[in-house]
Amino acid sequence: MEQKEEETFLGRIITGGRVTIPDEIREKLGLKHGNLVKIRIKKEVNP
Amino acid sequence: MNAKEVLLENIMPSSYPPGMTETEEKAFRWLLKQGVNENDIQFSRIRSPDFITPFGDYEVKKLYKAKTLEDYVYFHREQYEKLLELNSNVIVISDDSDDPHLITTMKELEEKLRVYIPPEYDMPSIPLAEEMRFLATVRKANRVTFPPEVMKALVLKDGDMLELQVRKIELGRVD
Repeated sequence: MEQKEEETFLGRIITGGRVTIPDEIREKLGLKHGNLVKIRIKKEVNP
Repeated sequence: MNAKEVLLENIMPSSYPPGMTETEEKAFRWLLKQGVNENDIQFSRIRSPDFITPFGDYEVKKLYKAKTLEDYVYFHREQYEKLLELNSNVIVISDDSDDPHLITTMKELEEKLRVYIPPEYDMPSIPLAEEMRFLATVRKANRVTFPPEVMKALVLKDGDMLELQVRKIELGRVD
């Protein structure tokens, strides 16, 4: 599968300020345990 | 004074909890003198009331001596309202004595001593970020953790939904 460099998804913050990266995003980016990622988050003013 | 009172009068703590002020140390000694076991006293320098014991909770206040006005104790508005709702006990101690100047409850405090609460001012609001970037490591169960400073800057809390853009960082690569 061709790996993408960047993906966007909607995530929910769970206890301890953690977010789960969905499996399909993980596969598209070829992410595995221990990988370093750059995360950009945007807070919606009126979600 | 009976033998027990003599013993309690001389009792000293094995050590003081970290962060205690001199006034709080005096209150701590006073609690021991009342027969409260040292191990039963919970102290927090950031919480109000300062001391929680099996016999009640106690806020410690320093007695300020004003030259032209009557002596007073000082509270922040939020702290005062919280303690009043709890009706905590108050131990008022001055700098020039080891023994409390006054022991009372919050509901009776203003009848016995002047309470000074500084007026609240409108502080300029600090603009909060709406967008942030940070580096994170993918952990167990595909989870990444937001640094506390990011949570604070965006005023985020558990349960919030967010749009996340994720990019894998290859070691040795310069973006």
